This record gives sequence, C-alpha cells and structure tokens, in this order.
Amino acid sequence: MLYRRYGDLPALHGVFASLAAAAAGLVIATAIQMVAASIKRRLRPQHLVAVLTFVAVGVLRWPLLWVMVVVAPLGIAIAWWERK
Amino acid sequence: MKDDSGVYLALIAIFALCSVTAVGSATSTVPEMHRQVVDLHGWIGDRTFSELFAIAQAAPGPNVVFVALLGHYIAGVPGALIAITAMCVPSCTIAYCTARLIDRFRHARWRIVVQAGLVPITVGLVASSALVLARAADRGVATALITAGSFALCYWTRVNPLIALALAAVLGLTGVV
Repeated sequence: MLYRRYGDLPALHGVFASLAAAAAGLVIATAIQMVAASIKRRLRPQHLVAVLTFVAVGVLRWPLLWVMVVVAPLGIAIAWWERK
Repeated sequence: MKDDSGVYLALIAIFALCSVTAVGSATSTVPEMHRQVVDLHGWIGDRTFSELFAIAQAAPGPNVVFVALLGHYIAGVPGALIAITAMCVPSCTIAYCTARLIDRFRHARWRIVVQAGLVPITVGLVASSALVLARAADRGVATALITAGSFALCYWTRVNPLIALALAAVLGLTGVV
C-alpha cells in the first residue's frame, strides 16, 4: 500500500529500483545453486528437461500450461527410464 | 487501477492456473505471472513487477506475499484477497488430497518416479524466473552491477540474503541508480 502511494516519489525511486536489481541477483544465485546441486556428478538425460523448460518458459515465454503438458510427461518418462 | 469484475475474474483465472501448474516453489510461478500481468494484460510494467517482487522478498513471511502485492496493486484490497485465495485454494486442496496418498505410497516406484520427473522442471522454472526478473529489473549499468553484486554475495558467502537487499536499499538512497 505504501509502495502504491509513494513508489513514484523520486527520492524512493532509486531505492526500489536497486532493491529489484538485488532481488534478481538473489534469484539468479538460487537458480545456479539448484543447477549445481542437480548436476553434482554428471549430466543425465533429466537435465534436458530442465533446459527445455528454461528455453520454453524463460527465453521463448511460452504459456506455462502448454509447456507443462509436454515437459511433465517427458520428465516422468525419463525418470522412469533412468530407474529401470 | 481498474476495478471491475472482468479484472477480478481474470485474476482468479491467472492465479488459479499458476497455482496448479507451477511445480516447486513460489518462485516457479514468476515467469507465468509476468507473462500474464505485464505482457498479456498490461496491468503493470516491468519496473513495478520487479519492485513488488523485491518487496515480497524483503518482507517477513512466505514468498506468496508477492501474489497479494500483485493483486493489491492491480485491483486494490479485493484484488489482493482474490489473488491470494485463487493461488492457495487449488494447490492446498491438491496437497491435502494427495498427502495421504503420497504417504501411503512412500516406497512405491511410481511415486518416486513422478517426483523425480518434476524436479528438473522446477530447476528450469526457477532459472526462468531469474532471467525474467533480471530483464525486468536491470535497465542500466548501475542496476546490472547491483544484480551481479547481490548474486556474488548470495552465492559465495553464507550471509542472509536480506543483507544483500539492505545494502542495495542503502545504495539506492545515495542516488547511484
């Protein structure tokens, strides 16, 4: 509520802009930690699913619903095949 | 901003969809929310989106606070209530109904396989969130440097992420951005 009222004040403009930039850095750190934790030893077919999801949702900005319809069965199929 | 039932219905649709399709954490829902409220509906801009996300990160409480902030910014108090309800009810219902099922099949192969199959999707979604937020927040050299600094602090040291946000706020006050 305060943001909606005061977010446009010039003095606070920089504060919110740099907060947003820092929050983006925080999420990048989380993402890279997750990638590192999942690769750990070696690349597996499962990682293809992560890359596909990233390209479709993050880069191409496709609707999440249609991406999930494809990657969820694919991820589960690969997990099943890996554990055979 | 806008206060009509059309906006409320759209909010319900958007957040309910995010609620059931985004696997993993609240952060997984960010790309789809951004696509909907910024790109498709144009209710808010990149700047507002990224700043509301930052406020939600800095505020105490769970990260779904972001959903309430988005709803409030777009359609006031009713918007906040609608957004948080639409976000929580479907996923909580699913969680409630499947918890017993999951517990019963704790050692069943299909449960382990389904869970393992969704993990890489979560990784892809969080990476997408990082890209979407960085694109929305970084509009110049100064903001890009703050993102890089915050990343370095959070990734290579064990300090509380709130310290990175606090340092950024102080930098913002000095007027470098």
